[in-house]
Amino acid sequence: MIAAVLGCALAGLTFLPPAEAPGLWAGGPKPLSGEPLTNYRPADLDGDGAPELVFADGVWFQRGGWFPGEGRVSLPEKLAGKTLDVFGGDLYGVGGGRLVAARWTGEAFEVLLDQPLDTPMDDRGGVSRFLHDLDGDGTPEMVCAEERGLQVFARRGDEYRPAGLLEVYPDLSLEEPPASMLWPKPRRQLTFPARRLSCDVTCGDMTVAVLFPQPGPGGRPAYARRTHTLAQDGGIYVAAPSADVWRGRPVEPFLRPCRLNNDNIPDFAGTRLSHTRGRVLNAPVMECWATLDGGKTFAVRRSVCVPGFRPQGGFMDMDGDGLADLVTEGSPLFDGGARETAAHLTVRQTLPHTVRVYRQTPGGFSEEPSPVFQTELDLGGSIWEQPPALARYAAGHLVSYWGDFDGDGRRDVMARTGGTRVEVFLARDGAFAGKPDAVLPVAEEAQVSTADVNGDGCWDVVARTAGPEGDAGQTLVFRAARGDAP
Amino acid sequence: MTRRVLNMFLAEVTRGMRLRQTWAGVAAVAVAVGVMLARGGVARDGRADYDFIARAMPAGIGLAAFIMLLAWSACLVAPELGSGSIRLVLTRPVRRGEYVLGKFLAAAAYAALLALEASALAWAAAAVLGEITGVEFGGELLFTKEEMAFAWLGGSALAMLPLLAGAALGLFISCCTRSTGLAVSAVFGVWILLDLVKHFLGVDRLVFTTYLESCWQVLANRADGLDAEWMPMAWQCAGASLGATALLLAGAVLVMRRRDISG
Repeated sequence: MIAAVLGCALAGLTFLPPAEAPGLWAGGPKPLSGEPLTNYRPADLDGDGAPELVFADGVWFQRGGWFPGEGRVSLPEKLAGKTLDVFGGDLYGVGGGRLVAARWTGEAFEVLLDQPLDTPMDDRGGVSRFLHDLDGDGTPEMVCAEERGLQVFARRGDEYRPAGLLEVYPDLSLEEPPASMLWPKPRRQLTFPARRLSCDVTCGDMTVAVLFPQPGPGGRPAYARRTHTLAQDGGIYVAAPSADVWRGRPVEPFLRPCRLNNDNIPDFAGTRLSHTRGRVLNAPVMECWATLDGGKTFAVRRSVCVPGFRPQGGFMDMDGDGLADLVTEGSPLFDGGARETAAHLTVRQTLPHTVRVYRQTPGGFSEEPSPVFQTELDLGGSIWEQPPALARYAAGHLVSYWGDFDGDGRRDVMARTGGTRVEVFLARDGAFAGKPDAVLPVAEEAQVSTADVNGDGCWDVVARTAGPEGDAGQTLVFRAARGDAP
Repeated sequence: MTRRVLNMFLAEVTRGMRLRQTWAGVAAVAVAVGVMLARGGVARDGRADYDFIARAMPAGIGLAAFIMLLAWSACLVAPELGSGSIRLVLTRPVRRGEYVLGKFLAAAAYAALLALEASALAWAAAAVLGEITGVEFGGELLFTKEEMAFAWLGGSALAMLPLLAGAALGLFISCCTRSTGLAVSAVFGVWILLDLVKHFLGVDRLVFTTYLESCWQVLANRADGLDAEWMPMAWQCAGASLGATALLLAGAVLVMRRRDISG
């Protein structure tokens, strides 16, 4: 272990010896954003500039770049079991018909607010986001979605009170009715079409924007966005009826609205599975589609994949320029032709894997990929034997390209090239390193992911080993440090 | 020397034209391209049909032509050694090395003929039954006609290199035995053995048979709207194939020089 960590230091990227983080979980990136999925929310609760980790049942305070055992505290009793959100360093919890706010004083949580509040939120617990500063006065409003619209609760004096219902939802649309059978009579089934409402709501700065799909030709939805300006009338928020409306063109059903750049036009992106035509052996092809102009033109980048492979990423800012780049993953396994592929599948234990980055520029996505990363993953058995690592590979767990381990703003690649071997390849000058900059030893059965756990800008490696049933297992965090760290 | 090799080559071409196995190779390539055509996908549907060409090329050149070329080149010297007619041939003013080179040039010409045939058939079928336009996906032109033609040209040029190595292999084995049947069986045995052990030994990139189909990867990938890089495949293919060709040809010349052809 020490030799491995020392090796990392010699290679220019330093990982500190692993620290235990029981209960911490990090997974792949959120679709279309690149942010990692975690079971915690980073938030600076003690005002020292270093984020704490807010879990559903406690808070881990950061001391000297890590979260020591003595800094891991349970939530105050009044916040326990509530759905949590953080605003301005204060912890808010809602649930059980009450709203509670608390602030960390350095020794313990001081309850700032504890009031009954009837909200339409489900008592799910966990960490969520329901606080929004609609009017920009530094005091958050609570915005909860309910059947009729968005229910706003605003602070009036010492307590939160209902402050208006924003009826901004689009009209219900009819679902495609399922087939009905009239005859024979005993088997008669009359089904009525359900009505559905689906929309994305963005609120803040006294506006509420609602993006929603409308039925289009050929089953292709055409998205529209209504932007409502908010006004206050006697302390009650009111959405202006005359709304700014943007209408997009019909897009393929697998495309989802997202934000890939900073302009005001909704972007759409998504992936779908296809297959090759120009080969004797047909291989699956993952198509990444994206449009930056509301559906007028599309960029489609394709990659050949191993059957069953599901990439985890797709669109993320790889070079730190603020524009989401298009990333494809695939395997050149089939490039050698039918005979060579068959021989590889039966004999070799390694699987070649390629990551291609198509950078976004103001003119769209580049046609040529740059940088391109290629590695060989040792699966521990012939592919036709379907070793356990093949399932991990298919789930997209062996190669991660959304971590920035050296904190330079460019995302690097972490690849599990062997059962107990994790390698980190840094992005430098438009290319990924050919040789690993760091090699980490992990347990064979560990699931490895990456997240910036301590919020220092250098992403860390999280290795989680599931324990037997009823056991939490073990989570180890290899903290990446900047080059001048020991 | 050049003149003597050329004369030997022309004599071999004239002889080859009369051989049934020469035309069997031509027929085999046509069948391979026809099978790929029968798999469908070629139609006037507004979509470019380079995918058919990308399937037909490895099947026609990388498989059918290679198999027929191995058999054809294995029959270049062994029958003459077995029947003793080589003594008559070598009464002409030609050295043994030049004799082998002339034979190799004939095999190379045969490889070129089969490759040309496969290409002509594939392009003709795609042009007549389908469409030859740029490759588009999502309304975006990914590769122009010219880029696709360049990918085909590059693939064709690279595909000739393993064929030449195959011809040299057949010729080398043909020089080592007097039995035609043994030569043909040996050349296929060596091919199969090479393909079986190269992955186990981890030397697949050094063996020319690895590149019989992979030299078409750029054309195949572009036909599917995929990005593809020529390197490092192109130089690996060239290195492995040209290296094998030079070694086997030198081996064939050496064997023939030292061979007792007196009976």
